[in-house]
Amino acid sequence: MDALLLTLKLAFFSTVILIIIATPLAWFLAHNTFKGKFLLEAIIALPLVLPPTVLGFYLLIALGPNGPGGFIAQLWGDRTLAFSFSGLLIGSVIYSLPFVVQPLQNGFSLIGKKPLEVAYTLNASFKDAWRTIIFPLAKPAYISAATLGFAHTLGEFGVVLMIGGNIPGETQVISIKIFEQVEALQYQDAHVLSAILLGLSFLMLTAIYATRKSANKTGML
Amino acid sequence: MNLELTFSLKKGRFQLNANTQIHWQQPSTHVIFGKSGIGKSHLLRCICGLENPTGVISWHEDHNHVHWLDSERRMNMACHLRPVTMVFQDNQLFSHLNVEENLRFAFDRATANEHDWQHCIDALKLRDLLSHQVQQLSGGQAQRVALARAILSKPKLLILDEPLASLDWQSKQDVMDYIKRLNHEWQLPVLYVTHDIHEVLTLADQVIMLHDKNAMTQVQTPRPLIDILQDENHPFYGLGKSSILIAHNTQHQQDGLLHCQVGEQLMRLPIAQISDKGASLSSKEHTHPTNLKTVAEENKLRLCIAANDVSLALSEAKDSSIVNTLQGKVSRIEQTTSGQYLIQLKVDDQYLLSEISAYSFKRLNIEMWQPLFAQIKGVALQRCR
Repeated sequence: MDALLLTLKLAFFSTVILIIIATPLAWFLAHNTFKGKFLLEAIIALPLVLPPTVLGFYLLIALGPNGPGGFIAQLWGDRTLAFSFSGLLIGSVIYSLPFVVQPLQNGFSLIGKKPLEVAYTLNASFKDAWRTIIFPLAKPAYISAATLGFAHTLGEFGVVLMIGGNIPGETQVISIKIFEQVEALQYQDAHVLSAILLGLSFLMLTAIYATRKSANKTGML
Repeated sequence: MNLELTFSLKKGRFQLNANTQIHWQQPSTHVIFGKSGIGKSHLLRCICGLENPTGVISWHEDHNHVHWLDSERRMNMACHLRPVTMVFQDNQLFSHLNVEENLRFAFDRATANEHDWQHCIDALKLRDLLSHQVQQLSGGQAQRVALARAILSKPKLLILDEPLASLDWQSKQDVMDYIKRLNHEWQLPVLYVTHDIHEVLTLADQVIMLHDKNAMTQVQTPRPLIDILQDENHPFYGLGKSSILIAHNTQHQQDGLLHCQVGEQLMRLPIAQISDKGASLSSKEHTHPTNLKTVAEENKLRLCIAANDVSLALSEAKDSSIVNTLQGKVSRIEQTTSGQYLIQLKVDDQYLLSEISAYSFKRLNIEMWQPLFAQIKGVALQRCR
């Protein structure tokens, strides 16, 4: 059960961080054209095509004692960020970034800048306008983004294997645990965990498609 | 009320320069006119605070002088703090809120009171629409809601950015009726942007032209519409092929006619006729008798007369079905591109345009300063202050 809890915790925190990072990023990409925009978009999309092991390998080096991760870890006396929950979190955030940025960017593009500007002219401040106009309008996009980000982190394997190792309670997530169980020929246990992951993933995707459909009906997306 | 605009905005190769004062003696309508793509919207966005130009924008009202923008002092008031509200071409109602919630959005963030709310809902006939989703509204209804929302945000200046451009003809007339009442009923000074000459003729008190030269748009000083139409150097001259006469001493008569005077000459305007004929420029005033009454009570009328509704005669016809004849002298003769002749008559101190065929022109043998009788078939009635 440790692995399941850890996986959920990882997915939850990754999603929260991702939503916070992706909101300004997606808004910026949706409403600005600038030189080299394609470059930024390509970088964000990289995890979509890159083999997770490649991403994991670079992350391992970056998080290791000789990379920036090691430098940061020294601040609290650790040698490396790799093989720790924080390292895993950083890896997951990078790995799942495109899955959160893209639905938000599409949503923001559809909404456009106009509703925000109209709200301004009606005496609503920046915060007020985001709270009362943009977030409600972008709700379907946020549901898609959060669910995709969460689900994708849930299924993460390659990156975790590379940078997380297999420390129970610290970095051993459910996908790694299943792999281990199969290696050890404990099919019974692997069945249980796989079924849980399958059910969770299916549930979340159903939720996305259901909200998308109702959003279309009310013309919000 | 006075809006000072001294700024320039650069966007890529496009540049907008403004160096002018827009002054409202009382709440009236200034129309900003310029062809599509010239930068009208940019000008409005600068005033609202949605763009970031360099220079000065300031608002004077009753000895209060507020800077909205002053680049030298690094001061740029945020859009939501400026007392300006804009109505956009495509209504821009919030799609996740219904009609009432859209109105409440503005109401809750302004100093309007319950009385303003009730008055606005009734005046714009929105009571039955309050619970509707905005997606259910027709174009005209949606624009009415947008207008109400803008009024309820209690601006000191209301900006309308081509509010009729995306409406069909019938909705246009409908919404236009409400726009005409903004000055009088809500004491709102209005900046109205359009590239439609008919809207200019119907609504404008003053006209602000935008001109461009080498992708540089210059905002010109406001001028009264009546001046512009009579200025042969102005591009509007004869453009709308309509003239505007100010009639005074308006009186409702027992016979149902509206009597008024242009100079010393009497005009009789059968209300039904005005409305039918006026449909192209004015509106269906006959369906809004109260509206007409307000106009009449102000005792002055603006008559908008299309040049092709005016025929010319050498003598006053006694046996014609045409009721209104004005006597004047030819003050200008011009051949239009379509081969017609545009004759300007001086009627007392006002001007009337008539469009006649080349054949008629020859037959009447029209010369400058020749006295002529203008027979007016149709008149469109406008409000006037």
